[in-house]
Order: sequence, then structure tokens, then C-alpha cells
Amino acid sequence: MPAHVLRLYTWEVLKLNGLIDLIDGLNPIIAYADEPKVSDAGKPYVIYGFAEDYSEGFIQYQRGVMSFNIHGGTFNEVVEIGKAIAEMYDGQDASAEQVNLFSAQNDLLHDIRFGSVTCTYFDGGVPGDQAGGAVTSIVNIEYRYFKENKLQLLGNGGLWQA
Amino acid sequence: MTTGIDMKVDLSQLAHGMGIAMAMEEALAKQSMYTDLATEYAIKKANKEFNLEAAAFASAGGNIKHMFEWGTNGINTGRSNVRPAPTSERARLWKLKIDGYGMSKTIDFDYKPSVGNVPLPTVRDTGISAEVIAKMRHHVFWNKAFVMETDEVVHIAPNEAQFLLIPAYPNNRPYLRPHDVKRGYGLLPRGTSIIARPGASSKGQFSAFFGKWWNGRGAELINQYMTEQVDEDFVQPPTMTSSVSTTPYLEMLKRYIEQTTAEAQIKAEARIKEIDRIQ
Repeated sequence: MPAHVLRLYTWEVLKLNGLIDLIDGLNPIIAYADEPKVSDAGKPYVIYGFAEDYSEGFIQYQRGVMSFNIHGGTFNEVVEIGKAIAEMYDGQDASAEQVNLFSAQNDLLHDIRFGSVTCTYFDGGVPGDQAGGAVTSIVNIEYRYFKENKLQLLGNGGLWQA
Repeated sequence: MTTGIDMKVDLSQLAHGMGIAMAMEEALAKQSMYTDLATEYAIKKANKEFNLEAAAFASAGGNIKHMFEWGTNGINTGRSNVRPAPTSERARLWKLKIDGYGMSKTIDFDYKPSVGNVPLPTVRDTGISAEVIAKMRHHVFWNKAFVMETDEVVHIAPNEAQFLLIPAYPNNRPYLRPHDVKRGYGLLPRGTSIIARPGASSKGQFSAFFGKWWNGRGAELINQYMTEQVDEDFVQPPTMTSSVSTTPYLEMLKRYIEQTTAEAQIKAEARIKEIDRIQ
């Protein structure tokens, strides 16, 4: 799934730049349902979500939006992470090339290739609901990708012969 | 609902060059029916992007989940009788509102009623026994989005029943008796009421996201889509050469726009029909 590839790539780049670290052995870029596993560790973490649009274009070339909801203890911490993600994806096809180079190293990620990845929205440093609570920052990126269909279909030689 | 965002289309990026772009903008401003249709299309197309970004943000735990129907996949995961996809019209509890005519418009949103059943409390979240949950009636919180976004105060009181059951969710527990917390619910007898603010933590969150998005990315997309349409609909405007001075050139351009607008208008109408069909 493209969002999974982007999640892994984002994690590797943020880790390389020393902006986030494992939390109890877990990748700190997590789905919303997993938030309780990392929220009390006192370290920054990122909740990701995505939505895809299949209403137009070719079925092999799809697009979607991925959202990174960054949580941390200080304004500086979340803005630094947000800025890094926004910068990581500000190159459209150049950003896609970087992601493709990364995913090409892993056999399991081979069937998805990105055409462009672009940062579309960045809202830095929103204070939490309660005093002393977490600060959040939001980065949305739009991605376009090609997907190779590896599923074997029945075709003329299969059970569904006309 | 926000106070409305004023949008004024900027056509300075037209592919025909700076001088011609300004003259075309001036000439087009007089063709208000065409510009109205083209601007409406540009806003509706940008709105598709907004819907996608809002769904992604909500699924990443963003504090705008209250603007989505109960049971929306990946956003509101409690069990309901509806299960809309996050990018579908049924999932959204707001509707874009466009006011104004021509190239200046105001964008806002209206609340839509929720039609899905409010998810019943679960044994895990409240401690209520499965037998009690099985006997509970379903109800619809039709103005959920409005109440949660505007932080409207809600009065809860039994209307027909003798008692109302108040589930012991973690945030309710400090207000319940120890015995009620243990069994997972308190009872509110007829003649009594409680005042609640279910939108205390979600107040204004969607409006803020809506405003920031449309003032930034939204405005950028509207200009881009509008420019694309004008470039497509007015393919061959007269070119400005050194032998033609500015005033006669502007007259030529105005005539060209007037002559081709009827055809462009038909194209613009078709585009709006198509985008309404998809949405």
C-alpha cells in the first residue's frame, strides 16, 4: 500500500536526521488506533492517515492524500518534524524519485512506484486541548502512484472461459 | 460555519503572457455568466481536493472527526448502522456553500444532519454488561456536527422513559457514584436533567482547518483551475504585435472574447454537470 511505503520512507529520513526515535521498540509513525501504545512515552510521535481518490484517471495510476499529525511536548519539536516532512516532499517528481530509490531496496515494496509526491498543507504548532498537553502539527502530502497488478487472473485458460 | 471566505480569482498566470493575461482578465470580467460558471467549476474541483485532505486528516486522528458520520471507515470506528467510505458524500456532515456571482465568490459550509445510529457503549469502554447493552435502544444525534463544532450546550433529560442510562465512559466517571462506575452506568430519573458540552474539545476545529486550507492551498487551486479553463476555452486570442497599439488591441481582444464566449459558456456548463455527477 502506498501510504505504508511513504510511512517507512518518512520514518527512515526522520530517524537519519535525529528527529524521532523508536518508542519501546516501535516505529513512532503509527495509525490512530495504536496511539495509546506510544502516547505516554514522553517522546514525539506521528499519527498518519490517508484517503485515496479513484473517481478519475487510469486505474493503474492513482492518487491519494496522506496526513501526518505530529505530537510532541514542545512547539519547537513538532515544528522541526513538520518542516522536515514538508521539505522531504516539496520536490514533486524529485521527491517521488527519492521514495522510489528507497522502496527499490526492498523486494516487498517493488510493485508500487510513485509519479509525484507534494506537500499540500502544513500547519505548525497547535497547542493541545489542556494546559501542559501535547502540541501538534499537521502536514498533508498528495501522492500519485502506479501499481503493478500481480494478482493472477483466470483469463481464457481458466474456469471462466466464454 | 465560518464567517465565509472571500475568493477573488486571479488570472495572471494565463499562458498567453502577462500583458495579454491582464487584458483578458479585464475583457472576461464583462462576461459574468461565463466567469461565474468557470469560477464555480474551479471551486467545486478544488473542493474535491479539500474533501480528500479532510478525510486524510481525520483518519490521522485530526480533531475534525465530529464532522464525519458515525461508522465512517477509519475515522469513526464505533459500530453503527451505516459504514460510509471516508471520501464519500454520505460520510461528510458538511456541505460546501458558494455565494456571489462572477469571479468574486464567498465560500462557506453548511452542516448536514447525521443519519446513522449513535454507536452503543461497549463492555470494554464502560463496563456495562452485554445483557444491558443488548436491551438498549438506538438513537440518532441528528445535529451532531453542529453541536460538536460550535460547542453548543446540550440539556439531557428523560422525555418518555422513566430513566435515562448514562454510560460510565472514563470522562464521566468522576461525576458518577462508585456503585454506578462499577456496573458501568448511572441512571437519570425523570424530572432531572444534566447539562453537557460534548463539543468542548472540538469547538471550531473544523472551521479553522476549513479557513486555513481555502485561504492557502484552496485559493492556489482555484486560480490554477480557472486559468486552465480560460486557456482551454479561448485558444487563439489575437496576439499583441508592435504594429498594433494598446487601445485597438484591447478592442480586438474584447471582440474575440465576446464572439467566443457563447461556445465557452456551453463548455463551462458541461464541466459543472460532470463534476456534480462525480461528487
